[in-house]
Amino acid sequence: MSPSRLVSLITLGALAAVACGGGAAGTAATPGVSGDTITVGVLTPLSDPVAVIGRPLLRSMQVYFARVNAAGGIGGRYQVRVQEEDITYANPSTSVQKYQKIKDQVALLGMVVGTDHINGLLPLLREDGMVATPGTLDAEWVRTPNLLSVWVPYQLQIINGVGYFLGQPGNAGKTICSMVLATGYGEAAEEGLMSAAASEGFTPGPRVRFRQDDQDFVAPITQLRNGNCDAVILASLPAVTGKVLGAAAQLGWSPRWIMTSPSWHGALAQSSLADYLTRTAWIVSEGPVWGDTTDAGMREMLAAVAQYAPDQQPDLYFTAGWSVAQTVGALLEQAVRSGDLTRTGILTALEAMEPFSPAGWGEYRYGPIGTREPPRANTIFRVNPAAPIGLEVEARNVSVPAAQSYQFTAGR
Amino acid sequence: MRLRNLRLTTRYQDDLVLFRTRLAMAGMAALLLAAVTAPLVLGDFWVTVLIYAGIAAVGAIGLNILTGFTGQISLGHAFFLGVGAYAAAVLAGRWGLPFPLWLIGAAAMGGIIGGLVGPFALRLRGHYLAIVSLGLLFLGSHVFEHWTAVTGGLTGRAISTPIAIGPVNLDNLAAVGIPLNRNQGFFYFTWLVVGVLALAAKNLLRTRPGRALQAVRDRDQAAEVIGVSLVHWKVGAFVVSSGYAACAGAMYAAFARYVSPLDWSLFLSIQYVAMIVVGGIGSVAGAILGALFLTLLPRLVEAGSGRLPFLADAGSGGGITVFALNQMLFGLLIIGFLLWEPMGLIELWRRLKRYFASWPFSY
Amino acid sequence: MTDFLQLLVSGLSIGAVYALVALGFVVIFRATGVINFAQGSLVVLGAYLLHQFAVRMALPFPLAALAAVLVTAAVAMLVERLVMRPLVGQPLFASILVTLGLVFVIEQVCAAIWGYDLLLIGDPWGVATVRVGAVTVKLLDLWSIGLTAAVVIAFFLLFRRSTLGIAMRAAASDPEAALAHGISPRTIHALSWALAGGLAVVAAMLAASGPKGVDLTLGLIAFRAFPAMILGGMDSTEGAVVGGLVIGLTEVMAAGYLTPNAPWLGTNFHVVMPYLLMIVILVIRPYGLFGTAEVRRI
Repeated sequence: MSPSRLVSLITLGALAAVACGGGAAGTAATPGVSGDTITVGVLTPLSDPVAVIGRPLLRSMQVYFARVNAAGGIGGRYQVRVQEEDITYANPSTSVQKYQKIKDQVALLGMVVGTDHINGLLPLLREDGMVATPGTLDAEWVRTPNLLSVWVPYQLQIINGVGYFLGQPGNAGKTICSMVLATGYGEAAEEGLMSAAASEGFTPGPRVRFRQDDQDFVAPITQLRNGNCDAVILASLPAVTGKVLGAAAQLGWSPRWIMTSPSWHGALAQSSLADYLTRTAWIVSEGPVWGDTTDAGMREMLAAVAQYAPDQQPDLYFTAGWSVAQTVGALLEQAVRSGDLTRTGILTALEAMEPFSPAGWGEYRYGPIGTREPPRANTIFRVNPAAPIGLEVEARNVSVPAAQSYQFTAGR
Repeated sequence: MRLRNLRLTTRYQDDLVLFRTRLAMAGMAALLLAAVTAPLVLGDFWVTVLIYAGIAAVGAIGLNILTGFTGQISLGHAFFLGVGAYAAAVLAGRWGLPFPLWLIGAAAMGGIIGGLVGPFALRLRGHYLAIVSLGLLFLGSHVFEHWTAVTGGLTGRAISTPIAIGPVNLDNLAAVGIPLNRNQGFFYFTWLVVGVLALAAKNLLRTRPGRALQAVRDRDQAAEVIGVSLVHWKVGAFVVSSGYAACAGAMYAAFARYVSPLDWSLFLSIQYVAMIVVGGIGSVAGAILGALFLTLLPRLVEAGSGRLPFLADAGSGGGITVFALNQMLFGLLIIGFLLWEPMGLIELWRRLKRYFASWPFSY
Repeated sequence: MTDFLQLLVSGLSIGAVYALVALGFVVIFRATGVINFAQGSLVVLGAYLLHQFAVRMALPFPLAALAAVLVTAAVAMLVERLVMRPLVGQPLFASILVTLGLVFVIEQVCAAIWGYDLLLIGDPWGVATVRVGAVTVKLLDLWSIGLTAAVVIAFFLLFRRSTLGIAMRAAASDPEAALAHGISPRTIHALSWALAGGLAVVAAMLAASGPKGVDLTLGLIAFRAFPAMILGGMDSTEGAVVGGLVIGLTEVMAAGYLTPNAPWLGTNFHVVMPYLLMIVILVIRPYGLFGTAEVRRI
């Protein structure tokens, strides 16, 4: 068969396939709810360098709802189906496109990864009355309508990290600098530093920005070193953190690195940087450590993993996703209790939701927009290559006064 | 011996007409009918996909004028799309211009900047021009990312460019009694623009300017010798092509209502080049066909992804993701068409026509 | 002063990697007249193969490197045979686009085999450093400069002194005459692609070393090396090396001195600076610093 015929046949075949494809999910009134099945949408990167965060987040949601379904479902009746869509982290427009694709098939979005992606979706969420869970921790999301926010915001992460550092004996008055990605996420971390500087009364040192595809970091590291930085806050992504810290290690410079949670990846603890990281790195995050069986929530998670995903390796992002899944489950329970699973019903449920803490995590107060409050305490981890995810606890429940008094303004 | 259906071209005028046979006119009428009924029949999702295809078609027609007809290789097409989008945002948002003006203004902006880039083509040829256009794209991205006031930086920005003439506003057609939602209204608007711009391009290309451009493509030195001014035509091709791209960018901004500097990437430029290659270089219909094909195919693959066994159950690992498959198909399509059908889809169509026109002597 | 020396060493080191990639472009261009936009993907493939041999199969690094070079060269030759050979004689446009299409195919195949996570290549120089006076020199830098110098000398010997090299130059300059002398353009084309594949692996060894690792974004390095190739002239191997070093130095110096002092230029101006430099030089010398001017007849 000649190639051009082959091409024509393939085209026709594809067109035929779509003719048989597709199917309505849910009725017009309750999109995403069909019979006794609720569909939850997840927009997460699965095929780019950020997939190292995106895949475990998705997996944990799938495992969590598998367990909920096996135990009878939400409200003892509704089964939950997770519908995932692959987005490109580097391009926020892909989220907008995927959203348009699945919006009529889902009741809410259980996870959207990326600060800039949420920014892109907000006008559409408002128009469609849809609730979404940001998989990113900007302080702006706390009091933005249509968002089911989770976790301690980056700004507070940095404030707590910096406060903890300055509170260590002999650290008062030291210079703190920043090295962040040039995205909305990096900006949030920088905001945290400026806020900490304002309330603790210090002037930060040089603030440097970098990009995900930079190859060489000698120049920015030199700039920071010349600024006599004692500590540097780092807002990066797993694929780049190694390059940044590798450059610092090679230049023989060891400040205290205070990094946000998405900067870390377990593989770093197994690389040639392990020694450097053990000496210099702190990761500000929250929640239980994988394998810590003193925590009831962690025990449940490990049991579910053993049953539904036995090949899952210890992963920081799986644990994080697990907490999100619990929150989404709690929202759905609220909606089912009030008997209204329409878009409006879910929004109302969000406004009526009780303060909720996923097992092992801090309490998030939902309810009316003006009074929403995230948890304000972080756990600071240090590196230990022998531990399951390469991290062990340095300090729990760190919540400095500046973090506690941080004001959240009403979002857009 | 006269063959019944074969209309041989015997007069110069015949080469220039838009519709050579009654059948061609009937075909166009059928297409028009399909276009009018499509949004009423297809679901919202496919209507949006076709809107994106239409926007891509505008950009592809522009690139075809530049690359297919004038032979100037440009990998910087995405930059002009970005220029159009941001120009539209500023004209409609900050300056408050009403509908047709912001679209025309955005296209004009693209044309002006294209005119500034054009002179490079006078000095550089072939590979060098391709790489300089790549450099232009990177420089343009740099500017977009740092001109936060206009573009919102890497975070992107929301765009509000209402398409409204008098009381008829595409965002709210129900208010004037037209029972169409936003997507359907936008579909008609987009494909109307495609029709107008395609006709304009066709008119440009089948008359004297088109012949001049083709002369520049085939042998630019010889063209200069016989009086086809390279300065005029090369720069002119850039101006027109960038104008089309900016128009496409403005329409994209109006529809998506959110853009980020990362949208105007090298991948987008390559997609446009692929569209004209797959559709058919040197043909307006080919550009539209290529745009439709390359926009629909990934969505079709996604729609059918449940039925393909080697695709990964996302999250768990084994197999490849739909995105990876689409990227691979994209690359394979480009390679496949270049190896086996360099004249593109439109050539397949022409072969089909020739087969039937010269039946039973189709050897 | 130490800062300057530090940046100088760093610039030379990264310039050496760009030089290797640019050499890969030039080798193929000289022999076949085509720019291989997929050179970056060959670097990615080479890095993944290094991971496979040196980490997953735990071979000693030199052996793993050799294996990676052989496999990548073989893949490159296969690509040339299947994809590029049918396009000989087609317009420029076709060859540019087909190599662009290859980028997608090669990268997605790599991702399908090795996944999307960042993988390390198990190189022996890691993050080790050596102190030379007041300057800390990475072992990586020494290897980059050393390896590139060795490659350049090898190329010089190959192209100027060996029969094969002269045959390649002959085939590039006039294929018909070369054919008349019994030099098969097919062998030359295949060999040039194989050489480019090998060069890609050497570049990968340096670019993905230590904690930098390999993921699909490594391919972007090729786009950084374009200005190097153009600057030096597309058909000149010395030009590629000089161009690579110039671009590497420009990038690092711009990052070190320009960006902190002129923030209005933007945070990563040093990335686009090479392109600006390239455009400026092209306007003055349209065939690059060392390239041969094209003679066109009507």
